[in-house]
Amino acid sequence: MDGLLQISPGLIIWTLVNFGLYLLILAKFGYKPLRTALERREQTIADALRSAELARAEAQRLLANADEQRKRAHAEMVELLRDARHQAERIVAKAAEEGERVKQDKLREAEREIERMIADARASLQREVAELALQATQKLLAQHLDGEQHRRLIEQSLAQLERAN
Amino acid sequence: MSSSDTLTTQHAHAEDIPPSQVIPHLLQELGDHHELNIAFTTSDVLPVVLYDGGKWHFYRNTHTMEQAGAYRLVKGHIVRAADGGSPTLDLSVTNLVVFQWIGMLVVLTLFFVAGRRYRRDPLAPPRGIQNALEAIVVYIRDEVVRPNLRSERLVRRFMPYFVGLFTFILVLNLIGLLPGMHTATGAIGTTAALAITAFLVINGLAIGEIGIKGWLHHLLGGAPVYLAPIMVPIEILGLFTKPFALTVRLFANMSAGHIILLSLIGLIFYFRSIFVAPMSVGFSIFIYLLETLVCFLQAYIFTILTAVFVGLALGDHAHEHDEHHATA
Repeated sequence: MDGLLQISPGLIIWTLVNFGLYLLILAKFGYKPLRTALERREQTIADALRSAELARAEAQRLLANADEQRKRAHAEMVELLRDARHQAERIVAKAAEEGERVKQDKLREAEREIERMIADARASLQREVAELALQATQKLLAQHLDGEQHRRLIEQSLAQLERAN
Repeated sequence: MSSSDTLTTQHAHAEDIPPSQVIPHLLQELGDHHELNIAFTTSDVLPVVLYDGGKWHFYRNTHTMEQAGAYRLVKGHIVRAADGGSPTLDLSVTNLVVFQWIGMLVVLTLFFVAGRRYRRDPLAPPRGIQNALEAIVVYIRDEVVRPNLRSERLVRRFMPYFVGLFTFILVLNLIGLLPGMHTATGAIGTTAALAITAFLVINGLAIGEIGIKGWLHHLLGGAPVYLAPIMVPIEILGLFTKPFALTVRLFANMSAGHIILLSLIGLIFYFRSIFVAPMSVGFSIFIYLLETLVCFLQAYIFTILTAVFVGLALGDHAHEHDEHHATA
């Protein structure tokens, strides 16, 4: 029993020497490389995490940008379409108006032409009738000329013609 | 007939020991020896170093020492042949010293093996031994040292000490569990030496960080000055009870398991019956597994208590001091 509970100064000194030596060797050749590697790895992982975070933010930004652009493009497209439709409508309306105007012009021209032709026809008919009447008169005059009565007749028919005109 | 011969005889013919002497003999075996006792063999090869009467005496082993005639080995102790008194200082390389060397060799080898892998590829994911050591180191750093030392500068400076403390105790505890081996941490000498280093680290670090004035101020324990007559003696006592508790805790834990194992096995010898054996063996296995747990636990407790004591000795000064350094 005394062997177990005995405090041996020799063992204490030897342990101090051994432990001190052990600490020296461990700190210099065992722990230091481990700590260096550990710190380097922790640094690398931290860097990787940070750069991943940065990349994520950048991607987020790009995505937002792209979305913005897409929205703008869409709005632009809608605007263009509306413009085009308006323009088309305006053109169609203008064309219709033009057509109407041309049609009216043509109609008026045709009317004028017809009136002119009617006038012409009437004039030539008058001449013709006058001619015929003159001839007929000459013939009649040649057969028997009954002065006043005939002259009245002729005048009457002329007046009639005049009215008809 | 020299007592060294008697010891050897006892080893050779264990059945010659009377039953009443079995437990004392086995307990004797737990302690330190001047013979190398490894893997069930005892060999008288360890050098004897004595400092006595102002002179150093060196002998190749206890046998040559006894032949020289000045000293004798009585019940494992070296005494002067002339008057039977102990030499001033017995600095012999003893059995447990050799076991400390074995433990140191084991851990350092493991660290070298791991270190080689770091040199080859520092960024590779850790494997095997490297991984285990890293787990221990990172755990000690993050759970034991950092919360107590607080300042990163101190953590960096004192990590080797705490890693060394933990691995040293753990490997000696575990070696003690191997059949035919001895537990160096099961001797008060070893644990006392470790506690002395803890005492030096605790107070050295405190004085270095908060200055001798701060350290003395801590002896008041935060009480008003007029309580100094009571507080200072208590705190001074506390300085020494902490390492003392460390010493006894580790020693007692490591010895207790062995003593229980010896008692259980000893029952077979007391009863001189094979039928006691199943019970003895069954309980022994249970205790053995418990001891495995205790090996890790006590290494951890010794380390964390040292760290906690350092933290207590530093008080709240660690942070402030760090800031001073930062601004300086």
